[in-house]
Amino acid sequence: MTATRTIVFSPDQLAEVRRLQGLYPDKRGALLPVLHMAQDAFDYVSLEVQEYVAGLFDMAPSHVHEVVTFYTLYFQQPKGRHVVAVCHNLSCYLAGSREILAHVKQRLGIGVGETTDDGRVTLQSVECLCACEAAPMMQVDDRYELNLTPEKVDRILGELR
Amino acid sequence: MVKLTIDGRAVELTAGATVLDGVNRLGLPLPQLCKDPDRAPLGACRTCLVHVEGMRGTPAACHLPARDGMVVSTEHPEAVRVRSTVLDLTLAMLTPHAERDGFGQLGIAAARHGRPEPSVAPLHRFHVDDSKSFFLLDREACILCGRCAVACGDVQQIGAISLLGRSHATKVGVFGDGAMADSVCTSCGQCVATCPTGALRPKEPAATISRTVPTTCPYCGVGCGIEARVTEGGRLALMADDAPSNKSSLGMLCVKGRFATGFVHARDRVTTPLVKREARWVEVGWDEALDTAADGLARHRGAFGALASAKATNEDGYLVQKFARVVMSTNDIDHCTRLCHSPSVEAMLASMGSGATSNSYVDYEEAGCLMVVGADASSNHPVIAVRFRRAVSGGARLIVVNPKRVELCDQADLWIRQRPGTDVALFNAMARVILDEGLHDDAFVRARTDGFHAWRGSLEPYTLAYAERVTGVPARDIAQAARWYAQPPFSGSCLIWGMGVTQHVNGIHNAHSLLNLSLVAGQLGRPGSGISPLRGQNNVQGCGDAGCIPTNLPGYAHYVPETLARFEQAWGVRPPGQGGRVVTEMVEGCLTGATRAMYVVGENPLLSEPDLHHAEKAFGQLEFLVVQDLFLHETADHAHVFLPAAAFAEKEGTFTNSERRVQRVRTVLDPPGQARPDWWITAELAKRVARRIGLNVGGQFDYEGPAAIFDEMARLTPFLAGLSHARLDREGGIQWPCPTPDHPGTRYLYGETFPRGRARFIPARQIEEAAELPDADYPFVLNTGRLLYHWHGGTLTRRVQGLLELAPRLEIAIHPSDARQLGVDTGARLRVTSRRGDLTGYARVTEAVRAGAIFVPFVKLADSAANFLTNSAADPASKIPEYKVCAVRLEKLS
Ligand code: SF4
Ligand code: SF4
Ligand code: FES
Ligand code: FES
Repeated sequence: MTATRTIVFSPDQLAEVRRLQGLYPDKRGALLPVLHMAQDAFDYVSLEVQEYVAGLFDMAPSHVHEVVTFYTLYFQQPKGRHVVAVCHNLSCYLAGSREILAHVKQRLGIGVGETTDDGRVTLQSVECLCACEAAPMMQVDDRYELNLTPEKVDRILGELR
Repeated sequence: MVKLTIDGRAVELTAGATVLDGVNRLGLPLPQLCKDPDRAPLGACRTCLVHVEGMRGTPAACHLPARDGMVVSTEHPEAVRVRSTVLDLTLAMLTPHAERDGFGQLGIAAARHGRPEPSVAPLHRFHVDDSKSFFLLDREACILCGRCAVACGDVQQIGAISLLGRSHATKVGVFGDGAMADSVCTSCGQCVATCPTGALRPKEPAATISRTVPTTCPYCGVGCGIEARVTEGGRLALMADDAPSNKSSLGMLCVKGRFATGFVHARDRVTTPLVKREARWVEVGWDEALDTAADGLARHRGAFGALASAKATNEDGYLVQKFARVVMSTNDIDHCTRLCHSPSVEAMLASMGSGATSNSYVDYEEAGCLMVVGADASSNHPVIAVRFRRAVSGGARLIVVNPKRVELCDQADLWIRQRPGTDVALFNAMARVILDEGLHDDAFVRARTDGFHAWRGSLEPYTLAYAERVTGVPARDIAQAARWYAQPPFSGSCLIWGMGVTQHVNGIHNAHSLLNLSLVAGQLGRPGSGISPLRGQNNVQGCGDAGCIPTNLPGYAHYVPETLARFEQAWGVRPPGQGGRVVTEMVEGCLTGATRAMYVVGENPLLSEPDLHHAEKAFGQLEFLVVQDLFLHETADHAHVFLPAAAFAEKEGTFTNSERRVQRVRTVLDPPGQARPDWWITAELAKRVARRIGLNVGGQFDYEGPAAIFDEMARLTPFLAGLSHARLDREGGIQWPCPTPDHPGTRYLYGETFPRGRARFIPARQIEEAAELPDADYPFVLNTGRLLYHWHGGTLTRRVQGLLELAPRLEIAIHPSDARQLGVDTGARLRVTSRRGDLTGYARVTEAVRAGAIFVPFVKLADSAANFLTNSAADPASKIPEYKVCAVRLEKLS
């Protein structure tokens, strides 16, 4: 899945980069969407990808690295087919996120930041996702899963292929 | 003006000032951890909180614009309460430790707020990064204020460090989160100087700084201002501070100015005069040394040459030439510019009538296009390279012309990689494009120049097709460069060049082809444009200005009767009326007997001359050699008398930098032992030689000090006439021409006219590519140059431990394809042999050099120096040796 390949955008992708950069008074405004494009194109944003993107923005690679390490939605390692992100912030914490996270870890047999051996799931622990009214919660790929209980977690994880 | 009260005291500030400015004006003790006094506020630390009547909450003073009638309190209980908590939490980020020195400002502020110890335990422990040689990053003393990242990214435009991660796992780190030593960090220390807590700190035991003295960096021609810090023990601290008010450096320094001034304390500094007896050095007193020197030099008057130093001050240089001309009655006086920029200077003198850089550094930042030819500014003029990077960030086009992939190529819009020695073909072809496409500045050419038509005719053969064939550069790149240079996207274009242009047998042709380009495009004489030969040594500009050249008197005055009379009136003795010999001729003269005695001040020609074995033989023939310097270097080995001089930090004077700015050099420390300032030694020597030859020099060599010497030089040099030490002390450095005491100095030359009236187009021809081309026996082309971490031959920088750690051994850059053929990897030992000598070093496999070419810096490390290999074949007009190209062969050593 992650065989080495040359890190270059296609001409179409490059045109899209230019378009996005043109939307902002300072082209660096387009860094986040372009990093997402890069993540889609190259599966994850390796250091090599970060350097490549830095070049497109005339930025120092360390500044791109700063952005990549700040946001949890950029992956520096190959990620699993699914990403499970358990909220650990205050509301969820008070509603039992610690137990939920422990349960997820145990079910998947991995720690936070790790991916299951079969490449199925990557686990993250993240800050508040603005669904405090339904705490504890987690995000599974593009979906929010709310009011979690261990049983509900089992069902959700069981459905991931 | 706005008026406000702070803690009950009235304060008046200029519009745009912040409340923090007012607090600091009143000298109130408000913490302000993330505010670098010279930079915009970051608002990150929240320790500068105050109370303002009528405002909600506790705003941060650094961010709060001062307004009329504001009533501010730093002592209001609410502000103190919140601030104490902030300080408490900030303190909890740190782990105390003996070497951490109380966390500077933070420790003091916390104690003042009654929080000497944090009330909660620190959450996270990060390791110390001590991979850099001069400083370390101790993350347990870091409060994440972000000042270092700004210093690295915005000030120096390096971008090595940033704040990685988020929330409590945030830390200062480099790309990929590895060691700083493996990052793009250049050790400039801008981050260390700004860190408020000592998380980034020099690797030396904390010492109390007893005083700081503003002076000028002794290394390169950029001429950065440094604040030398003196410890209580009376030594220079490892780290110097930058000088934000310095107009040339704007508060920046590179690794050498920041960390490499410690050579003044080197153990092998010579601090006693020495006389050689029976091939051994014997310590003697000044009288005996000076008398011995004077005897020897007096004996050889008529076969004498002097070498002044572009490292010494203007005042020192002025006296050496005065000694040569007045007492020794010769114009055989020269300095190292012969070895670097004489073709530029000669060409500029012929074409325009002045040999100086026409613009200022600020013009690089304002230009719309920079064309940098044969210069590795990031290594050799690091703080100018920052200006280039800032220009690029501002949208300027950067064209780099260099056979070698220099670091600037990373920022360039266009990299032109011509075959070495084909510059004239390239620039003439660019000129043709400019003319053919009508991009030239017709009005400028008509009004300000001569010789246009003849020159235009001479361009006939230089078609794009021809240039592409000769230079190996695609025609469309040549055309693109011509278009950008002639018509930049905004403002003007600056043309900047270095040794890659001049250190060739066709150096003067190269220089002319560049100058013609600037004339036809009209890219000089206004802001954002200009022509700049980047000067190597700290005072190479001043040394020429002071008259340490055989071709001209001080101020570039010519040997014509009126000037000779003017100097006779000032000096009491008429200087000789013919041009003297240049350094390479003086050295040749040692072999023929034309030179029998020399006085060498602050130079080490036996490391910097080409073809060192040959030069060594020449110096060996001298009957009498006086060397005046800090160390017993290669040249001193051949001397008969050694006079120990004071270093830059131990004397008064001035240096003139690459943008013609005359700046003060000040006494920071007393000279060690019996070492004396150069000007004093030269004056004593001059008087003693004069006595021996029965020449009455009156009080000509009696000076109260360097200020008086400067005054005499300024009186004789119209473009310096408005300057004096007193004025420079008052106003800071000033750019010549400065003809009167009320003249502000000159940012750029040639706005109205050229010194010779109209500038002249002088046709340049592409001649043979190099005197020595590779052949079957010597198949590689050797290219030489300098390194960021060493200065020149390394006489000074080899004595700075941290630099040796950064660049410990001689590296030979070699292209991967050649490396493969030789079967070597990076780190393999190699022997390089030319027709003149050999050296050994370590391979560094890199695509930075072309296949068939190798690069060796000319620093001497472990007894290997590139100039044992180089060719003394010289450009016939300016007599610069061809350092840049010579043929060599390579062998792998086991
Ligand atoms: S290392 Fe120093 S300057 Fe950099 S963020 Fe930490 S405390 Fe601030
Ligand atoms: S750029 Fe030159 S003058 Fe400035 S600190 Fe570095 S060596 Fe010194
Ligand atoms: S704290 Fe979990 S969603 Fe807000
Ligand atoms: S100094 Fe004002 S927030 Fe840091």
